[in-house]
Amino acid sequence: MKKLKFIILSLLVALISCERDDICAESTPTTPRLLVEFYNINEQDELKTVPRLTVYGEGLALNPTDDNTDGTLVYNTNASSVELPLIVGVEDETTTTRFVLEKDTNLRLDDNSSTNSNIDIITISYETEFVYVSRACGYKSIFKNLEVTFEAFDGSTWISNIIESVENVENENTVHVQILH
Amino acid sequence: MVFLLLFSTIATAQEKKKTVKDTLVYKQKYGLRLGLDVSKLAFTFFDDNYTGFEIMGDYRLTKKIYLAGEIGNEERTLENEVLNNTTKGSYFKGGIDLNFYKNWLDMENMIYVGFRGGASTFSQTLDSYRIYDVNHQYWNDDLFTVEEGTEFSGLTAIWAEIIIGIKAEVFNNFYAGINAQLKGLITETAPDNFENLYIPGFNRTYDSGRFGVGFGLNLSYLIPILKKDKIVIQEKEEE
Repeated sequence: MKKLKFIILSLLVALISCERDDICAESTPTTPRLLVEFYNINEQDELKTVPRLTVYGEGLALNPTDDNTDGTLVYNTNASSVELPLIVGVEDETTTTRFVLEKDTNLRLDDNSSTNSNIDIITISYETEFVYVSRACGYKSIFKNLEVTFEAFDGSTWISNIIESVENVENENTVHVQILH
Repeated sequence: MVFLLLFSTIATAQEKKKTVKDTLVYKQKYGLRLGLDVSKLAFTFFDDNYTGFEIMGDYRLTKKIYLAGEIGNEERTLENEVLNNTTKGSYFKGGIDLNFYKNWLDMENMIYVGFRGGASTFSQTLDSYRIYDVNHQYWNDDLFTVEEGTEFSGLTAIWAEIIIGIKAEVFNNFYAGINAQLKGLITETAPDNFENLYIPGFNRTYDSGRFGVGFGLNLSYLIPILKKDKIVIQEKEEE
């Protein structure tokens, strides 16, 4: 009988200790953002802050924008890094996501009309791959064959070069792209 | 028969100041008990996401030990914000039940602990899934959804199980029982880039480990095959 009591007790404990796994925990790594850091073109292993940077997805804010809105990831801020959410597209097809990066935003916003900001546009292209996470989170997307290019919006570029540090964006543990300026 | 024995006891008891050795013989039924899990039938009826049945049987080997097993078929759909998946398949469980209940007279009730090995073959159909992206609202209002169904077939799982339960005779040869099951997954073939969310017979799986739980409500009928004598010797001192 003692043995029986022990088994009943351990069964009860097992039933009670069932955890909730139907809610996707915030700490679960799911679809990563693209992590970008800005480096000095002359000293390529040195971080270099971009003065008064404004960043937004192309089409998600007026170009140029005078407001800090939901679309602006960074607005008129000195920044040495930025995290970019990528569009999740059809699996194994090439998807592109474009961002507007404006340097010296304050020079456009001030009253001095002789100085202005410099706006560049970067194009990020990749193929998505869907990876199973869990019953609560479903799947996440990773981004393969990452390629980033840049172009001037206003005649001249402030970006000198872009280096993809990784081929595939799988998590947010490492920097994926270095922008040299 | 029992009545006659009792009568003789009373008769002998009338002789005074005598130690009586009293031998009572009861017929105990040994046979095959077959039944159905009624909780699974109820879920089939009331739960849109479940269809299934289970047939159970046990056969009494000795006074305490029963050979026992279950066979069943289940279809279970899991639907949440990110996944819509249907698991379909059959299972078999076999093992023994140990009866810890000391029965009175000719009763066959049980409070038992059971041990089982279980095996299942099944398939999973992932009807649709979503790509979880905490930043999805930056570009889109909705999560990216994949609607094309994928079927993962030829999946298998093997597990071990401890059961505790009771079976009580509600009327002649008909039994009602309730039991709880704790399961430990031994091995499974999991689909590529997915997992077994539900295993027929094992029930739902958990992210945290290899354990599963279950319960059963069953009705069964005992087909008596042979009767064995249960001999009870009572010693009485009479004045």
